[in-house]
Amino acid sequence: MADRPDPVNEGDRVLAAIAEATEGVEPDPRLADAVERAIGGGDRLSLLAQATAELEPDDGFSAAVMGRLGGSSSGTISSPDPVSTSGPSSLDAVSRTGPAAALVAAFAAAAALLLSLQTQREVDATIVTSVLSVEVGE
Amino acid sequence: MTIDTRLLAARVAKGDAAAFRHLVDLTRAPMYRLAARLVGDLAEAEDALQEAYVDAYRALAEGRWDGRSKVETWLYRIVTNASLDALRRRREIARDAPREPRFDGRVTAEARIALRELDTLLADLSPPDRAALVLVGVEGLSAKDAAVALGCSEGAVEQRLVRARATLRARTDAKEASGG
Repeated sequence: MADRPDPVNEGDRVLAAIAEATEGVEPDPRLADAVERAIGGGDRLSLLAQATAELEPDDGFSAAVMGRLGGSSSGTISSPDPVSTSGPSSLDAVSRTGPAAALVAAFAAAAALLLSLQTQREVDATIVTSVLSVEVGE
Repeated sequence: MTIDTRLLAARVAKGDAAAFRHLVDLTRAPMYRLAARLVGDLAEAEDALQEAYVDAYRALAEGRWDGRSKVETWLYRIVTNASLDALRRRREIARDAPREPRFDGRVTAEARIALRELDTLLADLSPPDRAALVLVGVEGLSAKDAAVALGCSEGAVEQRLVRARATLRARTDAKEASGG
């Protein structure tokens, strides 16, 4: 009876042959391009992201922004106009309503004066009447 | 020392201009980078960023910042909008001769070249698609955060990304087919 090959050893031999045959397999240089295409230029974007990671303006930039806020030309420092930049204050309302309020106050004062004079006359008349009544009674 | 940008924003809301200067100093680097990557041109990025800061100041002074979102996130959105406006303007009005940036003293030569390359790579994309790709693919934001910055839904960002990548692929294929 002929010896049959040991299946385990035979399998190892086949695998070894395949390994030897595929040892020199290398990707085509176009593979990297194809991968990059497949992901839509992702690798290139990553590289560009790294290369632009340190972008930073110099100190003059902040001054230019503040200059624009102040209404002056870029590149100069000036404080923003406090009137235009701050929110409405309660004093604004006072100045807006001031003339009308003064007029109303003047009318009110005049009315109060007239009323007080009128009242005073009535009081005087009452006193005079009372005095006359007393005199008549005596 | 960590400075709470919310406190600074609250002081600006009360009319403190010095606090705003502080806020600009703290945030200008990442915002400059964002604007430059979005528009791909330093001079245009500087203009867009200045507009964005002026808008932010007015919004704070007029009480239009709700105080709930992080100041940086809120600024991110304003800068993205200003940059998108710059990109749209560029499409409507042909660019004149390239202008020189004024505040680029710290920008390396390598970064300038990379920025030019980025601008060329993204030139064929519409402003919304370009912005989505820059925010996710370059700035490293999640689609969710990019949606916040762009003021749209996460699904819209995904759609824009698919469209942007397809455009880039088509462009590369066409270049290869023509032997470039």
